[in-house]
Amino acid sequence: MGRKMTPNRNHSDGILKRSSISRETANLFLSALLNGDRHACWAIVKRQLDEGMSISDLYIKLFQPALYLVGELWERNAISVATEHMATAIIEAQMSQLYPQFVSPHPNGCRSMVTTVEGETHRVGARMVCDFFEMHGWDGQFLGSDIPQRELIRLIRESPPDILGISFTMFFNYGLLCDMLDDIQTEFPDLKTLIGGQAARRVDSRIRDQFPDVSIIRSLKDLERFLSSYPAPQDSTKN
Amino acid sequence: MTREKLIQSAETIGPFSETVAKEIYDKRERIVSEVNRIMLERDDLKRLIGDGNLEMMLNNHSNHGRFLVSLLVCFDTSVLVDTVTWVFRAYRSHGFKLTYWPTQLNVWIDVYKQELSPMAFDEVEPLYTWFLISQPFFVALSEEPDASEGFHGSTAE
Repeated sequence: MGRKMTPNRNHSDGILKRSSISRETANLFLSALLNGDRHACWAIVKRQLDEGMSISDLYIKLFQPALYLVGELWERNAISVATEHMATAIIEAQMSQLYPQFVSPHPNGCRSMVTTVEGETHRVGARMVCDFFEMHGWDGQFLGSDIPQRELIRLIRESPPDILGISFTMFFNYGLLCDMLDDIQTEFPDLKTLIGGQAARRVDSRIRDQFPDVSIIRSLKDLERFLSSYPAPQDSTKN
Repeated sequence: MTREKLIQSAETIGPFSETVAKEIYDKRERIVSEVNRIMLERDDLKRLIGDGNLEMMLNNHSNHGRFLVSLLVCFDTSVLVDTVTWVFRAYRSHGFKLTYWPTQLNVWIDVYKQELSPMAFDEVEPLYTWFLISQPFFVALSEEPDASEGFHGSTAE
């Protein structure tokens, strides 16, 4: 086995500055994540839930900041790409483990399709978005990352969703995003489209100028607000 | 030079015409593969990029090609400066040497000259001159903690 990774104070600060999770919990979670200890991560997740934290808060306050931090550690060559992938995979596994707890027994009859811009390899943010749709009673269809544009168009044509969500993380994919939105809006002018992700926040006004019908979702909290105010469909299977 | 001054200095570049953006978008794959071919033929490549970084270099070139297209359709100087700072930080921390940047930037310029129309080349070339001139400032910025807003580190919560 390789050496154990012990995150230092600055590392856990990366989680703390973005959430209300305690320093001890942030440290333990990050340490378990970087050491590939899936069971220890799950124990922390379970304890947070037992103490009353909602699953959406867990995503926003623990998973998301931990993922950002793992990305930063890779950037600084403090961890290898293998460790980065392992940490990401552990968080995805925790999300899968949580799924039965948040999937609604009363679906609202709406369906979302969530993917990334073509060329984008960061997929967990899009998957989190899809889970948030599920938490609000939607049927969330997660397509993964880097779907070829023509395949996405074909899929929408075959089975049009109520909302299409696109994750846009790295700015260098902006040209591809514009191309994708041009095609989607030409073929499906009435399809409600949401754009989110770190790059989307940075150039939100540009996107709005170029694509006024597209909505920018600046955070998972923002998505929660959007979904709470989204009109329920006439033919809802709820009740 | 501070991040703000660098952003200010970038305001003299662009904006770019739609025709040029379209030409570069259409030729982007050929340009990237030509840049890769030239770089891969270099005897000193290992000294430029460090050990075990070949895939990372090819990834950088692919991202660079898409970055240029993105800048042409959405020229945002703060995004430009923060992205380049991020690239310097991430790639240098993985072992890329400072000499890699002028080498590859000159290759991009040569390939543009060969592949693009004179009008497109004239529009794009000042951006690359700016990259070359600004390299020492990017190096300094990338060595500062949290010099940019970051791409993996910012949240809007």
